[in-house]
This record gives sequence, structure tokens and C-alpha cells, in this order.
Amino acid sequence: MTASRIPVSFLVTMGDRDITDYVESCYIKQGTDILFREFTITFRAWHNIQSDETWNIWASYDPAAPKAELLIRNGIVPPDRQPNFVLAQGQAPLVTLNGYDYVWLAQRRCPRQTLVFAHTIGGVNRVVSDYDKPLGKYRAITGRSTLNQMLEYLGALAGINVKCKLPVRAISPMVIEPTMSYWRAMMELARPWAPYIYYMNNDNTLVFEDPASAQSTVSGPVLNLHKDMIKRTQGIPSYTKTINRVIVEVI
Amino acid sequence: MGLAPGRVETVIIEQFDSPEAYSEATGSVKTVSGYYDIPGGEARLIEEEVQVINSMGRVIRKTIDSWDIEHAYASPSAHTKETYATIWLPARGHRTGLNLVDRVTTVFWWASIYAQQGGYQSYREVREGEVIYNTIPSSHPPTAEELAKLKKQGRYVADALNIQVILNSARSWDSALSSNGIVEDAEYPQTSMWKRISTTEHMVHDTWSDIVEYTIKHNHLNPGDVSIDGPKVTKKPGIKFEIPVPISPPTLTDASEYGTGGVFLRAESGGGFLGPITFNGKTVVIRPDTYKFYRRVDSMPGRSLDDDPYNLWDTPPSADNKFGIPPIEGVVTDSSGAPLADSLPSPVAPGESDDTSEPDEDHWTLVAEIDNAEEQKTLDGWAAVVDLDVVQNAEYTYRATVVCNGEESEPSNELSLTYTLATVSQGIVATVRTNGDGNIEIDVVAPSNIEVENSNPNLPDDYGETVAIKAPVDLGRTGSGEIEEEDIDDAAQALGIEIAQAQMVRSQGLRRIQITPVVPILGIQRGSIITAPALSWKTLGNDLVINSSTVQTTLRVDGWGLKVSNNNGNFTVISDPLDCLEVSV
Repeated sequence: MTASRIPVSFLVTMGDRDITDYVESCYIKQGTDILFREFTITFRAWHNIQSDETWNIWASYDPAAPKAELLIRNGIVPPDRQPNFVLAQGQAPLVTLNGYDYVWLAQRRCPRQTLVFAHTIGGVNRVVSDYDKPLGKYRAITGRSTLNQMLEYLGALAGINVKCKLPVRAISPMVIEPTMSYWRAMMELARPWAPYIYYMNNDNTLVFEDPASAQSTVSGPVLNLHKDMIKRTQGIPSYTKTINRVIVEVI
Repeated sequence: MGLAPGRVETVIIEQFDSPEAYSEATGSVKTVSGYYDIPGGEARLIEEEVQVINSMGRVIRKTIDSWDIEHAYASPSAHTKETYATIWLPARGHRTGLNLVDRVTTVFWWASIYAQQGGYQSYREVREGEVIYNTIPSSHPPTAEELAKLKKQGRYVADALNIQVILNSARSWDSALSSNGIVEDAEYPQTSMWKRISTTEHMVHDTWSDIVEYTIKHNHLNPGDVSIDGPKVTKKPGIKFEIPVPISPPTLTDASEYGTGGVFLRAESGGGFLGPITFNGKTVVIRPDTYKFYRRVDSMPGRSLDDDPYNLWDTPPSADNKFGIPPIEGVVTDSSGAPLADSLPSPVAPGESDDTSEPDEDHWTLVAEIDNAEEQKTLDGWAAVVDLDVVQNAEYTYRATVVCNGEESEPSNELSLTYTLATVSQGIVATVRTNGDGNIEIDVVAPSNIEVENSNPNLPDDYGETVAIKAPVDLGRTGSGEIEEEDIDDAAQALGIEIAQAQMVRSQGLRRIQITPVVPILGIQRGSIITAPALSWKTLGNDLVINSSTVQTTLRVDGWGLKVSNNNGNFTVISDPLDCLEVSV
């Protein structure tokens, strides 16, 4: 299959600077098993790339309005990530950077701080005394009793809005160790109840949704794919089944 | 003489219009037969008289046969056949009545034990009868020289009668008749005399391997006419001596899984060995004619010992009560209404506990009887076969025997295995029934205990699903002419199994779909709802068209990829099949 080329308008900013003209290619991926988007950008760079720059990538079908869709919001190149340089004589260096959008921060965690959750302060004390490992420095979370409240609190710690379209459920006291990220903690709490977890990056909101619950709504407008828009469809099996009975009706 | 006829049967065949060889046209034939009836056995013919009668009621010819039989079960020791005819005998009669014209006397004896088998019997047959002579009148009695000369020529001169006649051209009466040699004129120079015509001697003797027959025939009418026919040598029928030889069993050398096709079996050697007996210095070995392979089902998954473990019945006999007669629950009461004990013998439905048709004790089932595959009979024999009737995860034990001259040996060693390579097609049961609206429905059930071999243990397996398929098939189309109901049943069963074999493999559910759009969908984000349209497509085979379609589904975006490149200031999307929309149902 020959790759088809569709014109699209792009706008890439690094910090305050528009570097669109220097971009050679860009790859944006929303993984199926991770929450955040990943971007890989290749551009002709100069020497002063700041490691703490935030990246924004817009795209549009209309070149007159280049900021129609925000693909990467406040993107971060992780500090431990080294950019890949390709140097050629007489040319500006070709840099390939690999980063994530802002929600990647949920992957991180305040170091050496244990979270202890209970409904009351007395409950926190009981959890601490009953915990069989030394807790060290810990942060008590009280005044919350439902799953939704707990998810919102964890999201706030990571700097992300959390929206829960789930039934109200009570949760038990727990201890979140410092090795567990906010993201994993939210996943462990919400995974049994929320089959659909997604991040709406235009308003920095992480959504936990159970489509069977009454609170479930359609997230955004329904996109109808016309059959002329589909070039290729491929199914990937995700479970197995064994049929042991076949009823054939001859008509 | 021996036996005498105790019963006489007379048969008259009227309108017997066949040309009589020697005389006038015939009118009827009368046969008078005399039998000796062996008590409780067959009837033996002792005498037979056949009269050929002309249309005027006059007997033209009469033949009397008689056999001398010593006792009821003996071969005949002598046979006499006399022929009477109303023919013109020159110088004898004037055709006034029946004259004895021929008599054949045969005396049998036997010098061989084969005398009574296939007619190997010695006999001496003497034929006497009327002989017709043409005469040559002579003017003078022959001189001694002339007599000697005539005798040298083989002519008979009736010198004793002193008639001046020279007898010439002696012929028997029947050959004279058949060549119109008898002239019915008293003046014609012919005469007839009762003479011995021929003697035939048939001798049979046997050597150790052959039966030798000679036939010596002496025609007395022509001097020196002696012909010897023989020796005719016939091989004696072989005598089969059967020596009880112990037949040693074969060795079952291989019983292994033969792919998905069954169990491969191979047996070698075996046969009869005459240990101490050598022939030309070699041990006499009787090679096997065939090999027989047997199978025993040790365990079959999904079947308990109570539930026909060895598959002896296709369906339990009690399930197929064709007569539909329910067992009678008889109650007999006395006059007060109380039931009497043991009123009736309790009837038993077939196949129930009182069914006495016990299955075979040892449960060995004959798989196949295969000819000895070794063509050189001097080498050890062998045979191989694939047992197709095996079920997944069942345990089998095999053994083999050899057959020599119809004698089967003791069983060989036993080999056991558990068959694990079958596809699920083994043991599928297809039931054909007519459902409520008259359509044919084929219900195909897989063995209930397939071990689901899950290649990816992370994926759960939904075992035991049922699918319903509508097949627009004309079952009668494959046949020609009138379609029997059984044919439709067979065709439906074959169709059902065909479809089921395609369905009953472990399949993977389609829950995650990749869609490659032709334009980049910029506003898409994880969790968005999209609807995929109903797609339909057509696949063309040789003469097969498969129409397929998808149902319009609502999907939720799991992930997506977008790749763009800068082309002189214009960014273009390179839509790679790998970087596309991933949605899940």
C-alpha cells in the first residue's frame, strides 16, 4: 500500500517559540494501554534546547486557523530522556525528541511520602498502628469516604482534573506506598468499576466511566465514520472462545 | 443281479414329433422305469424300457436297459442294453414285428479306490447285433485258393453253407440304415447275420500320483481294426493333511499417534513354526495370511463406565423404543379392592437392567484385518494400518493377531497410548430434526470435554458457546431424480458436520478493531464514541460467492496514531497501517 498524503496544518511550539518551520516530521500516538499521549518530533535544532520546556502541538485542516485542535497540551520531555542528535557537515543538527503530554505527570509521585487514607483521624491512627511496616513520613487523607472523592484527591495531587461517571461506592482505609504512582493508585482503585478510563486533554481532565451506570454519558460528540472514510479495518482478537454446539437451520 | 425293481413308473409323452433316425416318423414315446427305492434315501434305476411309437400306435423301436447292482449303495456291476426294431433284415424277416437287433453288455469292475469318484471305473463292453452283408453271387464254389485270398482280404465266406455266395462289406445294422444301405427287396443280394460287432475294454489303474486310463476298442467287423486310446493320465486330487501347528502371535511394534488422522499400528512376524521339522535343511515356517488389529478403550473422556464406555452401542437401546409400548403397570385387586402381591410379572423395557444382552467381556474391538504386506514369503510378514476411530484424550490399548489358513493366533503384546492430537471433529454428534415450521435443523454437538488448549493464558476462554447459523442450502440439489428422505438426512448430517468443523475450532473474539481512515481525524481522543458503518463485501471463489457484511457498531476509541511530515511547509499525513485508530467494542 502506498502511503497517502493528506495536507494538514501543524503548529508546534517549544515554550513560547514557534518552531513549526524547523519540524521535519512528527508522530503522535495515543496508546491503547496507557493514558497519555506520546509524541516523537524531529526538527532542525539549534544549541539551546531547554530540558524543562513545555511542548504544544496544534493541528488543523484549515491553514488560516492553525489552532483548531490541540493534540499535545503542555507536553513534557522527561528529564532523563536524552534527545537523539544527527549531525551532518554544513547542516543544522537534526534532533529527535520523545515526550509525553501533561497527564504523564500522573505517572510520578512525591518521593518518600506514604499516603494513609481513612475516614477519620482515629481511623488513620489505627491504620498506622496496625501497619506491619515502618511508615516513616506519611500524609493522612481523611474526610473522604467514596471512591469518586478518592480519585479526585489523587488527581489533584498530580495536577489533573478527575471526573467520575461512576456510582457512589464506599472504600476502605488503605495505605499507598511511595513506590506506587498516582496513576497506578487510581487504576487499582478504579479498574474494577470503570472499564473506560480516558483523558480529555483540552481541559486536562481524566475521566473514569462505567458505561453501565446511570451517570455514563457520551464523551464528546459521536463521530460517524462514513464508509468512504475507512481505508482499512482490521480486527485483533482479545479473547478466545470455543464453540461446542452449532445449530444449523436449513432455509 | 442283486437289486430288483420295487416300483415301476410309466411315462408316455404324446405328440413326440421328432424324426426317427432309423425308421418312420414317431407319434409318442413311452418310458417304463423300474426303481429300487432305498428306504429313506434316493431311488436307484434298475430297469428302463423306452418305446418309440409311431402315429399309428405301432412300436417302432424299443430299448431295454438294465443295471446289475449288488447292493443299495454300490456302483453297477453290469449293464445290458437291448434294442428291438421293426426294420427289414435281409434274408431274415419281413418286417412283421420287433426283432432284437442289438445287445450291448457291459461288465464293470474296479481296481482303483477312485472307482466311484468321477467315473474312474474299468469295464468291458461287448456289442452284438445284426450285421448286414452285401453278397456277391458266384458261379462256382470258391476254390481253396480263392477262399484263402478272400479271407486274406477280410471277407467272410460262408463256405459251410455251401452256397455260392461271397459275403462282402459287413456293416452293423445302424450304420447300414443311416446310409440307406438296406434295400427292402428279397431279390437283392443282401443278407443279415447276428454277429459280435465290437468289444471295448476300458482299464483304469492308479499310480501313487496319477490315474491312468486305457481304452482298447476292437471292431470285429473289420479284421485287425484294433484302436488303443490312451494312456490318459489324470492327476489325483490332492489330499490335504492338516497338522496342528502352534501359531505364534505377532509383535505389535508400533502404536503411535498419526497426526490428527488416528493411531498408526504396525505388527510384525508371527505365524506357524514347525520347529523340529526341516525341509531341504530349512525350517518350515507358515507365513501369516492376514494380521488382525484389536482395540480396547481403557477410558474415554466424558463417558463413565455406566454410560457405554466402550462405545458398543451407538445409542442406548432403551433410547430407541420404536414400538412405543410403555411397560404395563399391572395391578390386580381382590374383591375388597386391596392389591394382590405379585400380580403380574413386571415387564421390562428393552435396554434396561434386565436386558440380558451382555457386551463382550474383554471389550476388544476388531480395528482391521490387513493382508500380509510382505510379498516375499521367505521373509517375515508385517502389516500396518491407521485406526481412525479414536477420540481426543481417550486411552486405548492395542494388540494384534495373525491368521494362518483361517486359524487365528493368540494375541500379541499390548501397547497403550492416550490420543491427544485429534481435532475437535472427532466424536461430533449431528442430529437432524425437523423444527416447528417444517425446516430442517441440524444440531451438532462437540464432545463435551475438549481440553481447550489456550495459546495465550492471559486471554480467558469462553468455552461452551452455542452458535446458530442459517444456511440457505437446498439439500436435495446434490442428488438426481427422486430424493429419498434418508439421502436428505445424510446430506444434512454431512452439511452440519462440515459447518461445525469450521466453527468448533477455538476462535478468538473480535473485540478490538483497527480502522485506518483516509483522512486524519484530528479531533479524536481516547474515549470518544465513533460509529463504524455497516460494510458489505463479496468474495468470489470458483463457483462460490460469499456475501459478507458487518453490522453498524458503536465503538469507543482506545488509541490512535498520527504521523505527519513537513513537505516544503505543508504537513502531510503519512497514514501507516500500523498507526491508525484503535477502537474497541
